[in-house]
Amino acid sequence: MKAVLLALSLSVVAAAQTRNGSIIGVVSDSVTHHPLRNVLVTLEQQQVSTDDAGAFAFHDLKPGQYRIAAERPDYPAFIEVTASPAADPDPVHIELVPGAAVSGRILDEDGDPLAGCNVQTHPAGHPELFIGRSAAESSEYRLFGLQPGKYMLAVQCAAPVFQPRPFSAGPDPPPSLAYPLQFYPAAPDAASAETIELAPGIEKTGIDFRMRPAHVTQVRVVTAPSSADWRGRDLFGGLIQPTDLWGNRVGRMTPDSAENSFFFPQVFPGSYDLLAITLGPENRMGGIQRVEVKDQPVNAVIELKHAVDIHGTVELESSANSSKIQLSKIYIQLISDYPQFMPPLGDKVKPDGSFAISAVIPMRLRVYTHGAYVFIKSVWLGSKELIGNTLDLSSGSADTLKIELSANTASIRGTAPPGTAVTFRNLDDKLLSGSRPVAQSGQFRIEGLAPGRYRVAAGEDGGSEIAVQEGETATLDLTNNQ
Amino acid sequence: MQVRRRALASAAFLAIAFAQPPGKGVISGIVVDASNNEPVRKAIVTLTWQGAPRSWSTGRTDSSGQFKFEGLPPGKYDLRAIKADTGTAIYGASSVRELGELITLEDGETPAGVKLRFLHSATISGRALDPRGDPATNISVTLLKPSRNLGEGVLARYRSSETNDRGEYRLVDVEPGQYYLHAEQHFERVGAEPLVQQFLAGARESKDATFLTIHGGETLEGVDFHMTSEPYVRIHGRITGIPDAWREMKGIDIMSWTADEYVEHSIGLPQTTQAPDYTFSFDLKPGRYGLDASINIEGKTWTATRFVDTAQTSGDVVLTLSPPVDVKGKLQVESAGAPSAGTFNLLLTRRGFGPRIIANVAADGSFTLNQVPPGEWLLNINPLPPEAFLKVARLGDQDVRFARMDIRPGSEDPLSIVISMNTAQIHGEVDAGPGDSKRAGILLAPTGQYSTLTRFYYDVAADDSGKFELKNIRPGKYNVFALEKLSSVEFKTPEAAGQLDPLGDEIELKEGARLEVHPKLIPVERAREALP
Repeated sequence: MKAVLLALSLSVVAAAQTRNGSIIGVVSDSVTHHPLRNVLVTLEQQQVSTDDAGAFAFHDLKPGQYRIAAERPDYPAFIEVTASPAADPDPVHIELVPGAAVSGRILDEDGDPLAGCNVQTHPAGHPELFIGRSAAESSEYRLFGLQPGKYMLAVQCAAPVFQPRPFSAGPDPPPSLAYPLQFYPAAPDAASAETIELAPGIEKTGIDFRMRPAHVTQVRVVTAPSSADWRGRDLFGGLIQPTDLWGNRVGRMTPDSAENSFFFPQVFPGSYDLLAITLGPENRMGGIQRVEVKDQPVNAVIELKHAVDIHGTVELESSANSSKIQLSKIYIQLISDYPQFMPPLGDKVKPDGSFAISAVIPMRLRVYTHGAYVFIKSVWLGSKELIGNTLDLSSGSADTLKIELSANTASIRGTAPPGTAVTFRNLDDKLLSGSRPVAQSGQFRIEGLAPGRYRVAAGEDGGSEIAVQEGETATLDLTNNQ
Repeated sequence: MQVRRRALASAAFLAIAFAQPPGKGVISGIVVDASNNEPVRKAIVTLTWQGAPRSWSTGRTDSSGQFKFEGLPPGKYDLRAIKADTGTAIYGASSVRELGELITLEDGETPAGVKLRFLHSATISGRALDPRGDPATNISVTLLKPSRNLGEGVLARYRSSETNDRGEYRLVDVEPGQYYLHAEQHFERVGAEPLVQQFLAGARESKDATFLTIHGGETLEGVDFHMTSEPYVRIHGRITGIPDAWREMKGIDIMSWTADEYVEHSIGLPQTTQAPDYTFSFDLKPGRYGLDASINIEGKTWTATRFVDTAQTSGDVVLTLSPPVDVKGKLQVESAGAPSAGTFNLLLTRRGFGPRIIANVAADGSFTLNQVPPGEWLLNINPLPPEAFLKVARLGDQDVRFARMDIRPGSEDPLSIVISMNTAQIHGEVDAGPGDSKRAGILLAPTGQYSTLTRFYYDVAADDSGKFELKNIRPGKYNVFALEKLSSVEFKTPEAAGQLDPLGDEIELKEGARLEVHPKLIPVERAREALP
C-alpha cells in the first residue's frame, strides 16, 4: 500500500515537472481589503495589469519557482512573493500596503499663513534621510504616498521675514531676521523633534508649524595671502554645520572676482565649518576653517592649500577567510565630513597591495574599504596609528598610509517578518549601514561586518542593539519587534 | 594734520546728512479689499519717490490695514501694495492693467486716509482623472500664455502645478489675460498605456484648444481634465552616412526628446544602435519628437537630427550623419567708447535638446565656433550692453539677426557680426485735450518686417503731466501710442499694436537719433479694445 502511494505521488511530481502551468492571483489593499485594479504585476519579462476585480494571470509557464512583484504608483512599496505554476492553480493573494499622508499649515509668528516653505519628512532617527518634500507654493502642505512608520517633520522657509525699509535710495540692506529650520512642533534640531506615527491609508491632519524669526548676520570670506594661487579659478564655498540637514543650506557661491571674497548674506549664530574648494579635478585646492558666528557680521579668512596625492599599502591579516580574499577586489575610500562638497575619493587596490589616491584636499577624512568581506583593523600614517580611522591632513603632511585589513568579519543572522527588509547601522559610524531583504522563509543574513555595536531593525526604527566580535555570528529574532 | 581734520569733519557731516530724514512729509492710509472694503492686513506697501536718485520706503499694513510713511521729501510718489500669491493694489487703479495715479506731496504735507484698493489675483483649481475616472497623480498642469519667440507664436509657461494623490491641482496668482491650460504626464507608469497630453477639454494642439480668459480675481474651481490613454507608437528607422572606414567600428548614440509646441526642452531617452544596420526603434507617447544621432570619429562629433510626429510617421526614419562645421567669422563694434570686440563671446543654442557652442571673440574681432553640428542654430552675443544693438549678423547670404541660422553640412560661409552702440531715444509729451489726464502708458511698436519681434516693443509710463522718455531703442520704424491711464506692458504684442494701428504716430528712428514725439492720447475705453 505504501509503495503504491509513493508511486502515485512520484507520477504527480513528474507530471508537474513536464507540463506548463499558470499562476493566477488577486491584489488587494491591506487596509480596506478591496481588490486593486491597475496594479502592475511583473513576472520575469512579463508584465500585466490587474483588472477591476484585482485579478491577474500568467499562463504557459515552465515548472519552477517564480518571483512576482506587484506595484502601483500610489502605493509606496512594491510587494514580492514567490509562486509556482500549476495546471489548476490556487490564486495567490497579494496585499499592497497603502501609503500614509500628513498635512497641515505653516503659520508665521502671528499665526497668519506663511507661503514659501518646504516641509520634509525624515524617518525617525534618520535626520540625514528625507522622504517627501512639499511644494513651497502655499501655506498649506500635504505629503502623501509615504511608507507607514514613524517620522520627524522639518520645515525650511525661504520666505523672507518682513523688515520695513526706511525711505532711502539704493539696494536693501541684508536682512537681520530669517526663519530658522524647525522640526515639528517647534524644535531646533532632530534630537528634540517629536516623532509622528503615520499609519497605512490614513492622513494625519493638523500638523501645523508656527514659525518664529531669529536673528541672522552676514559672513564675508576672503582667502589668506598665504593661500595657494587660485587666480582664474572658480571657488565653491560652503558654510556648514555638522548637524545640518540640507548641507549647503547656508549658501555657496563663486567669489566676486573683483574682491576675491564670498558673501553669505543670512547666517544664524552658531559654529560652522567653512569650506572652499576649486571646481574641477585639475590642480585642485581647498581649505577648511572653523567659523564662530554670533550676532555681528563676521569677516573670515580661509587659507587654500594644494591638494595632495596619498600613496599607501594594504595588508591583510591572516585568518580563516583571508585566503579567499583577492586584494585587487578591494577599494580604499577617503570620505570627508562633508561629502556634498568633497565627493569621496578612492582607488582600487593593486594585486601587490598598493593604492594611490590623488587630489585630496587637506582636511579631515575617514578611511573606508569596500568590495570584499573585510574590515579595517588599523590605519597608520607613517609610524603613527590613526584614531577612529580618521586622517587629518590639515597640517599638510602626506606620509604613506598603511591599512591593516582583516577578513575575520562578523555576521548577524536571524528571523524577521517575511517580505520586509532588515536595516542595520553601526552605532559608532553611520556610514557602516545598509539593508538586507528578508527571505520568504523569514530568514535574514548580514555578512562581512566590522566588529562593533549595531542597531538592527525590521523596518525603519526600533529594532535591537547587538554587539558582535571579530569572526562572531550573532543571531537575532525581529519577528515581534517591528 | 589739517587735511586729516577736514576729512574727519566731512565724514561726520555725511553721517548726519544720512541719519536725518530727507523730508518732513508723511503719507498714511489703508489698504482695503476692492470687492468688500474689508481692511487687508500684512500687505507689503511700497512708496516710491519719482525723483533722482530713485528712493523708496517699504512698510506693511497692520491688523486694521493701516500703513504710514514718514520723513518724506516733497515730490511725486507711486504707491502700491502686494500680498504674495493673493493680489496687488495700485493707488488710483481699479484694475491691474491701469497705471494708477501719482501722489503729489508738497513740502511738509501729511495726507492721511490714502486708500489703496486691493485687487485679488485669480486662482484656478480642479482635478485630473485617468480614463477610469480615478485620480491621476503627478500630472503637470500648466497655464500657458501665448507669446512669441523670433516672431513665431509660442506658448510660454506662466504658472504650473502638479496633481496630488487625489488628482488635485491649484494655480494661484493668475493675472488677467488669455491663457491655455494644459495637462501632461511627465512620468509614465511602466507597463500601462501612457496618458496623452491635452489642452483643456481634450484638444491635442493649441490651435484646436479654447482660451481660458481671466478678467481678474476669479476663483475657478472644478476645472477638471479627463485624461485619455493611448498605446505607445513605435518609431523605427536607421542611421546612414557613416564614413566607410568607420563602418561597423562602434555604436551610434541616438536620443529622442519631446518637441511639442508647448515644451522647448525635455530630457531625452538615450539608446545606442549598432552595426551593421544601425537601426533603432523607440516606443513613444503620441506627439512630436526630435531625434538626434551622434558618433565621435577621430575627435569630431558627427550628427544627424530629424523631427518626427508619431501621427504622421510611417516607414523608416532615416537619419544621415554629417561631420561638424567650424564657423569662422569676424565681429566688429561700431561707435567710439564702445567695449572692444574681445569682451564679447558668442553662444549658439539649438531648439530643444542639444549642445551649446561657445566661442570667445579675439581682440581683433575674429572668432571660430568649433564643431557645430549642421542644423538650425540661434546666435546670442554676450554681454550686450543695453545701449547696444545687433546691426548685422550674416552667415553667407542669410540674415541671422532675428532668425535661426541654417548651418549646412560642409558650409564654409563666414559669419559677420556688427554691433552698434548707436541706439536711439525718444522723449516728449502726450497730446491730450484740455482737462484730460495725461497719465498714459507709452507703447513703441515696430512696424514692417520687425513687427512680430516682441523684443523690439518698448514701454514706459508718462507721468501725470504727460512727459516721458525712452532710451536704448533699436533704430527703425515704429508706431508710438499713448494709452490713457493704462500700463502699456500688456500691449507689447503684434496683435494689440495691429488693433491700435490707425491711432498711432508713425516715426522713423535713425541711428543715434533723439526724437521728440507727441503721441495723441487714446481714450482708455478704446485702448482696452486692443486687449483680449
